Amino acid sequence: MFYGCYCGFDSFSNKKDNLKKHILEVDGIQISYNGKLLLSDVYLKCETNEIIGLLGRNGSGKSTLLKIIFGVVTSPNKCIRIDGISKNNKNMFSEIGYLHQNQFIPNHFSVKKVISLSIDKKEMKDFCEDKMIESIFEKRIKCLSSGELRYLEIKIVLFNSSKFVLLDEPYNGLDPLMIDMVNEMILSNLDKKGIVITDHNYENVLKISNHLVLIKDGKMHHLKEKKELVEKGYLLNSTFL
Amino acid sequence: MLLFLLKKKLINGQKAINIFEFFKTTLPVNLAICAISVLIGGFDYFFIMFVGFGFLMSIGFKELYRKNDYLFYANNSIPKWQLC
Repeated sequence: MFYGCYCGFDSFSNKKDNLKKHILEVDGIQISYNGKLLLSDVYLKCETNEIIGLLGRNGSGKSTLLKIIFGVVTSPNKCIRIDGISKNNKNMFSEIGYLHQNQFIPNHFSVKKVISLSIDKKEMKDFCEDKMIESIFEKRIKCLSSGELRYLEIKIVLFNSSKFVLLDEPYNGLDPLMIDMVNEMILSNLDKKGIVITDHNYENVLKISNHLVLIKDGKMHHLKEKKELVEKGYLLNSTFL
Repeated sequence: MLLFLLKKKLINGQKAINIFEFFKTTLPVNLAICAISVLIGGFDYFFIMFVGFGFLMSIGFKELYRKNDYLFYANNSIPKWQLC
């Protein structure tokens, strides 16, 4: 079931079939705020080569779910398995990368320093062969525009050694050309990673994801077709689908 | 401590530099508190404050005002519990 329209995906995935696939499974998450159940009945499965698009209204618990998976918010009964092995917060950080919806790179660093701290030496050349990165390489983080910073953050999260990446509102502050660049970057890293993406820019989420999940009334709905977004009340009409 | 962990190969070089960079950012708050204690009680208090109250205050400052910094280190495979 593919929602996206990116070309050549099949040949691309066949070529990489010999690479090891990993599976992330999230189960049993329950969280409530002020006595109201925010999330329950959560089951999410993400494999290498897969992009899960996570949609939902404001305050539906999308970001909270990603924070719980990454381990920065606790949930009493959560069960997170990677390749069938149950993980706790202590041994999970090297396997999951997380892009926070706000800035997470400290302001006092320079771009050069951030790259040297985050990117493996073997990947460095590949990482820096990018016009955007070249243009900001000597700058300090606090001098970057919000778009440049977002692009750098996304690239760093996608190029680290994790098997899975959680992207919380990656398109924040990006212009249409940058959005296309980010989409390309996400797709080019798909052979090594499984990705969960959530954003209110649903058109781009629909474009790149190959599995859609809607969070509504604290429950997860795995969607088979895009028109279900209208049926479940996420969109008013199907004009933009 | 960092040298010990490196020698025992419990962390790699890049991780050690990340940890060093984190603790470098705790120095301004820590040293400011140490300076106040030196002014009040003399140099005898410097070391105690540096590894005790000053350090705790600098971590507290990070917890209150620079909480997202931990996400940067977590993305570099260093969880919060390894830094505090």
